[in-house]
This record gives sequence, structure tokens and C-alpha cells, in this order.
Amino acid sequence: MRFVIVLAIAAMGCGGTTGSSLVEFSAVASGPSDATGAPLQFTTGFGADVTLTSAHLHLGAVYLNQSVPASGAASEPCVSPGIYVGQVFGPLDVDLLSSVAQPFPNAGEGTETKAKTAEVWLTGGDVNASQDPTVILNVAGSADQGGHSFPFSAAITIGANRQLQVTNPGMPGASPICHQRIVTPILVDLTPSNRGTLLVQIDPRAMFNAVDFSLATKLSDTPLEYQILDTSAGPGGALFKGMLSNSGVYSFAWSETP
Amino acid sequence: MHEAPINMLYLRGRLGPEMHPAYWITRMVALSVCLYATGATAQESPAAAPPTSASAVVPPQAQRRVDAIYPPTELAAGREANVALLVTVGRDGAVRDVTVAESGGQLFDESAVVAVKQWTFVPARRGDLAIASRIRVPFRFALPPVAAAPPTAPAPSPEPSQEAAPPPTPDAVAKPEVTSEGNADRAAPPAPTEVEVQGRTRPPSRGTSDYQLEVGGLATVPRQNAAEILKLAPGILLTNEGGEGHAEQVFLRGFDAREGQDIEFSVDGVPINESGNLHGNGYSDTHFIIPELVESLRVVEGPFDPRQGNYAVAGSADYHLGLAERGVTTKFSAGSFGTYRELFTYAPPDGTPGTFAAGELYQTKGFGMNRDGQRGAAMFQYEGQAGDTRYRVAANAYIASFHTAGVLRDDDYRAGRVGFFDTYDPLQGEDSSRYSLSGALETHVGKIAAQNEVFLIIRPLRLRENFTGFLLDVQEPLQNPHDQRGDLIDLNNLGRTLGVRGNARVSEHVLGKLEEIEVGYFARGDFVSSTQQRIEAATGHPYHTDIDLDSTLGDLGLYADANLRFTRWLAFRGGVRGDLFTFSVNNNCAVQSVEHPSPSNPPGDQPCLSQQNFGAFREPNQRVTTVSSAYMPRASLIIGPFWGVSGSVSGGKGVRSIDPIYVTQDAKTPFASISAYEGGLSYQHQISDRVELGVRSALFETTVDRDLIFSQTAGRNVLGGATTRVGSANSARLTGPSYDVATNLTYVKATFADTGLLIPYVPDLVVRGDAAVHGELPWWWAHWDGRAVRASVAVGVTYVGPRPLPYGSRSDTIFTIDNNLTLGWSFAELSLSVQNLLDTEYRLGEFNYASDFHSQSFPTLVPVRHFSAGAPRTFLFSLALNYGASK
Repeated sequence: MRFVIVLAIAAMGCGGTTGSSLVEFSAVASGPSDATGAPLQFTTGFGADVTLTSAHLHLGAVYLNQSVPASGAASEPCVSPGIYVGQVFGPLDVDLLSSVAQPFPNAGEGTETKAKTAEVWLTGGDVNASQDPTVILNVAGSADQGGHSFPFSAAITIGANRQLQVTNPGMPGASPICHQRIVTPILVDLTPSNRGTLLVQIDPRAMFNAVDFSLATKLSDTPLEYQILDTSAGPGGALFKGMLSNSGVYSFAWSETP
Repeated sequence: MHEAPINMLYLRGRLGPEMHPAYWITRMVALSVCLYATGATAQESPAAAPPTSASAVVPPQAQRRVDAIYPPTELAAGREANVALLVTVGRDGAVRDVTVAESGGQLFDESAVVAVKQWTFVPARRGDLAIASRIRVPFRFALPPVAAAPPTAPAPSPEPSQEAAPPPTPDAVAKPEVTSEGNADRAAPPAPTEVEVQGRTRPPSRGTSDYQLEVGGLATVPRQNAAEILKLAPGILLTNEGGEGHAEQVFLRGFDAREGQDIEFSVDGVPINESGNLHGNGYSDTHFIIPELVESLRVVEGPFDPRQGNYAVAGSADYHLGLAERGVTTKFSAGSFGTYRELFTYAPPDGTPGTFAAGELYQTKGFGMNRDGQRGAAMFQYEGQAGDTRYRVAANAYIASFHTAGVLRDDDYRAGRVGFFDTYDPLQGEDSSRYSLSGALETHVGKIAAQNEVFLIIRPLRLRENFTGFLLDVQEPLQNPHDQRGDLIDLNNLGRTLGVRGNARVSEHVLGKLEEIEVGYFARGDFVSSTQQRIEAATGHPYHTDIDLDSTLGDLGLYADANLRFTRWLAFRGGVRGDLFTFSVNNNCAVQSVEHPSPSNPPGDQPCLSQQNFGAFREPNQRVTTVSSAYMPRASLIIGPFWGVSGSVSGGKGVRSIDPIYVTQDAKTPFASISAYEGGLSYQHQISDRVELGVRSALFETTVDRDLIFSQTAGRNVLGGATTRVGSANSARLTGPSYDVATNLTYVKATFADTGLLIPYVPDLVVRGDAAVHGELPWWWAHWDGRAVRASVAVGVTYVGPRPLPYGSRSDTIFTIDNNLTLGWSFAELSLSVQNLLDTEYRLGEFNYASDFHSQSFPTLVPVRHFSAGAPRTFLFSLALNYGASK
């Protein structure tokens, strides 16, 4: 009888576990929780009062890591195989002025392992491609800075315009373009499971902290129109760096489905 | 592996005055019975042996004799003849195979064969156990004298010449007084007068888990290679994601033994495990063994025998080669997926099964993408005797080349991005060869039997595998900017092995009981060159060297083993073994990164660097030497038999040396140590003269202090933590005159010692069944030319329960049925084998890990399910023709 029981248990696969589990989950992204769909007003570190009327961010993919990675850090590979516990593939153009959850086109997958950091991949395709015409950040609005008004727009890409120069000939691969496309490490505290949803909140306000609108390029006087150029210097560079900021811009949360 | 590579016994004696009186028409000149104990019982009882040597062999005795018919035409022509037959007597006492060793002409030969096939025997025995044997039976067809002599006076008469004695007519033939069936025209059968027994002794059984597996009637169960014969032992699962000729991955009693790293493999004592193989230290590829040449197999599940050496972690398996079918045999096979096989064997009719030559050619297009393969093998072995010394020389050559499909991601398969039998990387495959020479001597001086064997093995291997796609080739700061080039591993390994082994056994009667002491040695040196590079998918060029080693490895083992019988029902078998391992490893690629490279001479993409920080020069190599030793006590206490039931308790320690890449200068080699214990019961019952039943059941526990866990990123096993296995192995075999049925079931729980979590990939439930029914068709239409059509039907069933996979999941179950139907008549045999009869779409291997085959729009970096596809339904037709041996 005992033999039969053992046999039955084994046949049912109830003889123990190897720990953790593979999981699939849903994932959504949104603007900040106080976004209502209406223009978003805030003040930057430069003292500019900004009203964002349009803001979209192109998400390539999102990864969750079980350890604080060396990946993505300077002088380290962009990818560190073995640390990943979750992944969600886009593309997803997120309306940053809306707090409504915008679902990723693909389900997330991973393991039921505590994630400590996250990565946001801002790319339209191959993260290592030298060229990528995809507009990653597309914003428009107006800013009042120093008593001047700056109706502005910006379309930020990450391609050759973001390629860093090799400073140490002994390390020619120390600054791959993928470093410019991956926001990391973003501290998180969550554990993926089969019954949950990953929420990625993106707050565009922090992206503008270091943008000096007075250096924006005037496109026309009538109507008054400025453009933040897609360059590595000036307000374009500042906006790009703000977009890559690993604190204040991106936050991750996990909600269990009842 | 045991330390008795040839273990042959030679004894000579008289069976007694059992001269047969019937000698009128024919007379027996002499009978010498040359018994070749095949060393093969399906379920040898581990019971304590009677107070004779455990290796003592009692020859078969004829139980029913049927006389040969003097061919009328030959009689009329006045012709006489001598015919000598080699007869295989099965464990059931039935005549299994008859070959003509000495021909007297076709009609005489046929008459003798027809007669002897109707004989039955009391089978040969080793101790209490019936064993298969091969005897020589001479027939003398002599004309009667003109005046009939009394039938009870068989004194040799002068052979009449044509002149002196004109050919008699049949009517003139006098009748023999004693024949089994009283036919007047029959030649009287011979009776044994002198016995010559030549057999291989086996090490005394170590208990319930010491399996002496005779292939026997189960030879017709479809098996693709010699490794699959292992399935006759309990708890063995074979998988293979490496392709047609890749070593089988063996799971045994809760061990993921990979390609043999945890099992000591040998063939007639010659080791198969490859020390220093970069793919896995102890890698064992048995494809060089032609399956038809496997006569028996000794599997010891656990380190319980002092003869077992390095790698005997889960146990050991020693193949014993022999060819019962004498003469020349050609076998042609053709089947599904462009599969063709040609097999040629030759065995001198008057030789022992241990003398043969065989060659095999095989090719297939494979059952899916990138699964084509070709291989060839040649094996030669000669056994002879000079005085009281027996010797054996063996040589074999094996070459193979094939492609491999590798693994597929389950999400890609479910999304339709790949098919079930597809591949990601068509560059995967293997080129493999093996060449070996060996020689063995056995001498007997007084009470001492000594055996020695020497072997030389050359083993080149190139292996290309890609488990991870494009996951691992990340942009390193030292490297020039590059796209991902792929993770295809190109592993090259050239092993050269030279070794000797031997033992001396002394037997002495003490207080009326035969006690035995054996001491033995084993020594091998391995000289291994191994490299592992990465291949660029786009060009096929190597772009990075991972490993480049030159290793000189030594293993010297000594053991002492006692077989002590305290009473008729209590025996102790055990001893101690010590092994000394030496490592000298030159790492030619010791430096692969430098924190501060020279800005004026940057290393760039060079993998094996000759600079230290800030460009300081150093040679790129680093030599490491170390030595370590292990002492391993092993013992078994065997009780019984009582009414056929025997009990045993066994315990022992084993060891597995580590991969050379893990060796550290002067640090004690961190080999894995194993402790194993088991208790078991066995039941052996001779139901009738020709029906035998054997049943075994064992409970076991095995702990390993440093286990090997397979790493897909490394492409090989890597050292892990301590593990424990607890389980039960059970088997049964029923052998009869026309059937052979074997089944086994193993349940095991294999866990990590620190966490209690299951060890991934190890199946906890394995069930296997083999059955064969064979015989001659009784119907009139199935007899042609006086010979019956032989038929056999065989089936093999495998069930593997859900295997634990990493991340808490379980694999699918495996359930397959393989069949074989064979029809034979005279010298011809036609067979059809069907593997995976139900055409189940099953996954031979399943794995959870991270890979990136560029099948999706972004890098896939989290663990997901992967699998290697099992073969679909496969047909194979074969036609075998045998010449020079009667059936």
C-alpha cells in the first residue's frame, strides 16, 4: 500500500520542489499618479515653470534584476546574464500625462524571485545598434524661466548622437551605445508572481530638472516656438540625461490580482 | 568498474564414468566439453555462495539426448565423417545456438545439428546459479562392421576401408541398443568424459544492487546503442540533447550522471571514462561498442565493491563482449529518415564467444533539422590459451560525425516561431573517434589466480554546442566594439590514456569453507589537450578562446577485498581501496582580462593575455600541480538464502576526481566524496528446469559532499553543494524457454543537503519493462526444407515521471513503447523494429534557464523552459544472413 502511495505521489509530481517558480504576469505603464490627462504643471531645478501639454516615452523593454547589477554601469557590460528575474517587452509608447495604466503588448515573464533593481531599455530595436531613428521622448509645452516664455518641443533619439568617445584606448569597448539606452539601476522591492501586475510609473517632471530653457533654439517668433535640439549638449543633453536618471523618473510597483 | 578485467577460470576434471554405451552405428570417440561461462545471469543471486569458490563452474549435463540420423545416402555410399558442434546451452538448459565447428559434410552436419537441437541439459551452474554455457559436442559417423556387434559393446572397431567393407545398405545397418528415441538409423549421442571449463569469474556479488545483466532473450528489444542496454538495470534514464553520436546522458538512482561522469564505465575492464575531458571529467561515450557484441553487463548501483575506482559515484557498469552467433553474419538495415546500417561480424565456429571481429557502418539524415550523422566502428577480439595461461587481445576503432539540433525554447515553439524538430544553430555537432588496444593475461598457480591487463586509448573529440544562443557574448570593456557573435562552443579534446590493472586472488579452505582474498591495482595516466573556443555564428570563425589546457593526470589505485564465509548463510564481502590522484595542468590561457590594460598596446580582442596591470609582461600560461588521495572502505554483509530469499546490507565510500580546470596549486584536490548505504532483499527461484524468476528490492541512501550540477552557460557540469538521495530500486525478471520478461522501477528523492530542495533534472520515478517471446513456429507451412521458421516479438516500455526542473516546475512525463518483430529461417533473419510505436511527441530533455536565440525583438534574459525533442516513430527493417554456422 505504501508503495502504491509513493508511486502515486511521484506520478503526480508532489515529491518536493526545486524552489521558486517560473511566472508570467501582466505589465502596464503610466504617467505619474497625479496625472489626469490634462497638461502637467511643475517647476524645474532651474526655476522654470513648465506646463507639459504632451509627453510620450517609447519603452523598448523592462527588466527586473535580483541583484544590484554591475550591468549598465560604466566600464561594465550592458547585460549581466544570470541576474534577471523578470522581463517585459514593448514597444510601448507611454502617455506620460495620463495615470491610466497602459498595458504592454506582451506579457511579462520571469521567476518568482525578489527583484532589487530594474532596468528600463529606451530603444526602438537592437540596444547595440549604432543608429536608431526612433523618437524615444517626445514632449511639448511651455516654460516660463527668467521672465521669458519658452513654448517648446523636443524629440529625443538615442543613436550616434549619444555615442561617447573612447577615452582609454586600452578599453575600446568601455562605452558602448547600449549604456546610453539603459536606465539602471532603479531600486525596486518586489517579487514577480503569476497573479500580479507590474506597474511602471514614469514621471516626466524629473526629466526637466537640469534643462535650461534659455538655451533652447528658437524656431520662430510668430508664433513663438523653441526647440530643444536632439544633441548631447545644451538643453537637449540635459533632457536626455534627465530621461536616463535612475531616480525620480521611473518607479516600479507590484500589485497582486485578487 | 571492478578490478578483475578478465577473471577467467580454467579447470580441468572428470565428470565421472558416464560413458554412453550406445555405439553400434556410430561411436563417440571423445567428448570434450568446452564450457564458456558467459558471465551472464540476468538476476544473479547475491546470496552467500556454497562452500566452493564463488567462481567455480559446474558444466552442463545432458538430460535428454536425441540421436543423429545417419544420412541414408552417405550410408549407402559408405562414407564416414566426424562432426563437431559448438552448442550454446541457455540458463534454462535449452539449446540456444548451434554452430558447426568441424564439418563432416553438409548432410552429416545437418543431421548432427538437427539432433543436438533436440537435446536438453541441466544447465551449467556457478554456485547455485544457472548460467549460460557453450560446449563442444563431437559426433562420429562410422560405418558398422559387416557383422553387427552387440550393442552394449562399443569398443572402437577398425574403420573399414572401401575395399574391406563395401558400403552397406541401410537395411544392413545394425541398430543401436540405446538411443533416446530408439531410432534404428541414428547416431548415438556422445556423453561427456572429460570436461574443460573455461569461464570468466565474476567478483562476488555485493548485494542486491549488484546486477549481472544478461542480454539473453532481450537482445531483440530495440536498442539504438550499447548505452541503452543499461536500461535493464533499475533506475536508469537516458537522454541525449547532443545528437546521434553524443554520449548518452545517464540518470541513475537520483544522480544526473551527465555523460557518465558519475558512473564508472568499462568494457571488459578497459575504462571508458575520459579523465580530463573538458566537456566533463569522466565523459563516457559508449557508441564505439557495437550493440550486438554486448553479451552481458555488470551494473553495481553504488560504491560497494573495492574494485570500483574513480567516477563510481552513482555506480559502475562493465560491459562484457561476446558473440554467440558464429560464422560470418551480414546485417543490412534501412529505415525511416534515411537511416542505413551495415553490420558484419565474423566469429570462428570453433572459437569461444570472446573471439570475434565486427564492423559497423551507419548513417542517417535524422528525424528533424540538423540531425544527420554517420559513424563506423570496428571491433576485434581474440581469446586464446597457452598452457595454463589464458590471454585476450582486443582492438577497436570508432569514428563518427554528426550534427545536433540542440535545444529549443518552449515559448518559441508555442508561438510557432520554431517547429518541434527544428534547430536554432546548424553549426552544432560532433566529430568523435576512439582507438584502443588492450591485452589481458590470466594465470593460475596453485591456489592463486592472477590477472593483468594493459590498455592504450586514443580519443579525439570535437564538440559544438549552443545552449544559450547569443546570451553570453556581451561587450566587454577590453574588447573592440562588436555585435553579438553567438555562444556556440567549439570544444576540442584529445585524450591519450595508458593504463594497467590487475589482481591476484588466493582461495583457501578454512574450517571447511572456502575463503578468498584478493588484492589488486589500477593505474592510468591521461595526457589530455583540450581547448574551448566560441564560434561566430555569421562566419563560423572562432572569436574567443575560453579554455586551453594541457593536462597530465595520474590515478593509482590499490585495493584489498575479502570474501569470507562465516556460515553457509552468512558472508562478508568487502575491503578497502585507496586512490592517489595527481594533476599537472598547464593553463595556456590563464589571463583573460586585465584591470588596467596598456594604453599603448591594448589587448583588444585577444583572449589569452600576456600582460598584467598597466601592460607589465607575463606569459599567458600558468601551470598548476597538486596531488590528493582518498581511502574508501566498502563492505557488504550477505545473509541467506533462505527459501530463495537473501538479504544484504552494503555500505561504501566513493570518489570522483574533479575537472582539471578546478585544480589549484598545492591545494588538496577538492574531489567529490560519496557515502552510500543500502539494504535489500532478493528472491531467486528456479520454478522449473527452464523457468527462473528473480526479484530484487533495495532501499538506499547516498550523500555527496560536492556534487556536479549542469550549467548551460558553461556547457558542462560545475561544482555545486552537498546532496542526498534516498530511494528504492526494484526489479524482476522471469526467464523461460520461450520468453524473457524484465521490469524495474526506481523511486528516489534527491535533494540538496542545505536547503532540502530537489536536485533539478533528476527523475524521481523511472519504470522500464522489457519482454521478448521467441521460438519456432509450430505450423506446417512454417517449415521449409525440414527447418522451422523462428519468430520473436519483443517490446520495451519506458515511463519516466515528471522530472523536477529549476524554478519549481516539472517536466512532462515520458512514455514510449519500442517493438521488434523478427522472423528467421535457417541462415536468414528478417526483422522490423519500431521505436516510439505510439508516435508520441515527447521531450527527451527539458531545462529551465536563460537563453537568447534572437528569436524575439529584445534580449530574452530570464529563465524559461527549453527542451530537446525525442524521436518520432521510427521504422527500421533489417535482413541478417549467417554463413558458416548452422541454426
